[in-house]
Amino acid sequence: MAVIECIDVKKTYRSGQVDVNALRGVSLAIEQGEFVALTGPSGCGKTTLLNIIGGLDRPKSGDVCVEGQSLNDLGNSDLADLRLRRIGFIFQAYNLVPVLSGLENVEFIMQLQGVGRADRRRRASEVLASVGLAEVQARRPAELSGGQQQRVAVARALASNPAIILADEPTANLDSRTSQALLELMRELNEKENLTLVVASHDPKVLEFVRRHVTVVDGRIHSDT
Amino acid sequence: MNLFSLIAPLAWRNLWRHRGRTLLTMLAVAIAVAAMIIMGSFLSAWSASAFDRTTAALTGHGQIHAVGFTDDPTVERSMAPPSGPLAAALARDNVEAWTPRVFAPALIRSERESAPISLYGIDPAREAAVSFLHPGDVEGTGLGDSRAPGIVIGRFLAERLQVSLGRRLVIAAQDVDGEIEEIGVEVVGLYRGQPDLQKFAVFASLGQVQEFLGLGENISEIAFLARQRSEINTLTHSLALAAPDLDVKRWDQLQPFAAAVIEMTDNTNAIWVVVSFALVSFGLINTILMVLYERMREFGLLQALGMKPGLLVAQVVLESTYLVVCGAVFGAALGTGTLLTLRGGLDLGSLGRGAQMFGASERLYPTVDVSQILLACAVVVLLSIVTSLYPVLRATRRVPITVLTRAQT
Repeated sequence: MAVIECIDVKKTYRSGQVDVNALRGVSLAIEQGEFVALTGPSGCGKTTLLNIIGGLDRPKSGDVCVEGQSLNDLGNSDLADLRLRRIGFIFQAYNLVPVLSGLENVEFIMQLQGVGRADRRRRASEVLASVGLAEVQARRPAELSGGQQQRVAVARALASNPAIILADEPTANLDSRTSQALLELMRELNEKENLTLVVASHDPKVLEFVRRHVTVVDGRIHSDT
Repeated sequence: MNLFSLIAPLAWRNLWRHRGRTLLTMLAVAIAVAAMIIMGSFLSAWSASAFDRTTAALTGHGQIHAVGFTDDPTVERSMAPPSGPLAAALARDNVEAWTPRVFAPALIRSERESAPISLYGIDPAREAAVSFLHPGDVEGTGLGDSRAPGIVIGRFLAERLQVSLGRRLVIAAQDVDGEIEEIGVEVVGLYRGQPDLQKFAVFASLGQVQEFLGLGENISEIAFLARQRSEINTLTHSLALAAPDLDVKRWDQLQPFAAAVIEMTDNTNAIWVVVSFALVSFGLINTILMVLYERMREFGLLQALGMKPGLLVAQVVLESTYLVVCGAVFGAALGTGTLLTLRGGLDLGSLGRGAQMFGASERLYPTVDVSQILLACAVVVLLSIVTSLYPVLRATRRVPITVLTRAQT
């Protein structure tokens, strides 16, 4: 059974007086342990697809099933619970909670999950160390570089032991060296932890790391290799 | 999971994320609470002053007369001094003080001028406990006891008659048999206060006036004060039951115009309070909405990370509660401190004559009313919490990406 299954997903946005068809019927199945890149030109619908897969947005029609669960059947609260327990997000703009330190940002998700203080602190430290941030755990986001913030975001996504990680332009704000390191980390996680990773990106370097490449053009799957 | 332990520190840290803005918002809350406390106290003091000024004139909280006296206040409509059930009722704990009086319309004459007056025979010691006529406010020797000779007149009347202390005047009045009697009396005191009464109210000892008018032991009225303002109705009712043959009236029945002015002033004050509360509230709502709308993106992020809508609402409400409770405590201290510095009285100065037109004194005495402080704090805290609910509920009803992206643009 596919861990992610998109069934004829359509999405329309209202832009001023005009309806914009962001997705025109996308069907896609992703198996457990796949490392998938969604690429395509700006405005092709890859971020929209990623948001709908993650339950951050709702389709106009069609359905998305995550581990067999139809997202259409879930209310806002249940969707939040699904994201909390099964999906990790890595955003382009890092999106760390500014009043929490790096360690606390990573702990935050586990705290929401109800993990005990000692366990979550140990796990957060381990995950931060695994992304090379053992020395800067106590710093707040404003005191970290862009690369460090993105690695904290990766650590946060990993800390909750998700089945799926969705990353939207994770390398967009990083220099080439940091991008390379981040992609290597993601490949390592995919191979060692059997994590399913879906990355929406413009960055051609991403294609060197993924095992499956889906191209989206004008809201449709153009190619899937 | 103890959710409070999750959101409490987060809410507290969020509060201090923008220290300057938080302090400014707290200051706005504090000023709102302090303004409500001070304004409420000032208007309460105004109302209390108008009531005290009216009842202290001579009316008291109520009066007892012979039937028909209030419609036709003549010497013949007199009554015996209180005895039996009425004396017992006047001796009860809910009576602060009472005083007997004799009243007669009269004419006063000096060597140069004459004037119509209201002649009151009073018991000086009892009178001081009921009305404005305290010995300390009378220049001269005043009336020593209830049979002492001499009269006390107002300063305005003395100016009109062109007399001073020690001068003799002649008073003419109709006695109980309908005969016009005259008596020569010495001015033994000039009283201050109650400018309206100063023009016509003349006081002599009770025994002297009773003898002058041929009333024997009879009196014209009894003025009384209740222990508490809230007890006036009950006391009046119990006195009416104790003296079924007499006419017992409350102050507002005796002074309907003054009561109407006070009621109108109270209503105006209430409108002012509502208007000032509304103005302060709009300022506060605006500030809180601005602060929260700036953070819509963060609300979207927290939901994207898996925070359930209910928990997000709880966190924001907790944050608002921290903010306004801190501000309200500071505001309550500021308001109370301001009122304590004014406990010696607030001189209305040039407003004085205007204030008197609405029944108040030139000097107001604002008091610290704990219930008013709690009310102001409760209004501000509840208002802020309700206000903070609106943006966060709006955020939780949308899909997270809408909140995240709309906040970005």
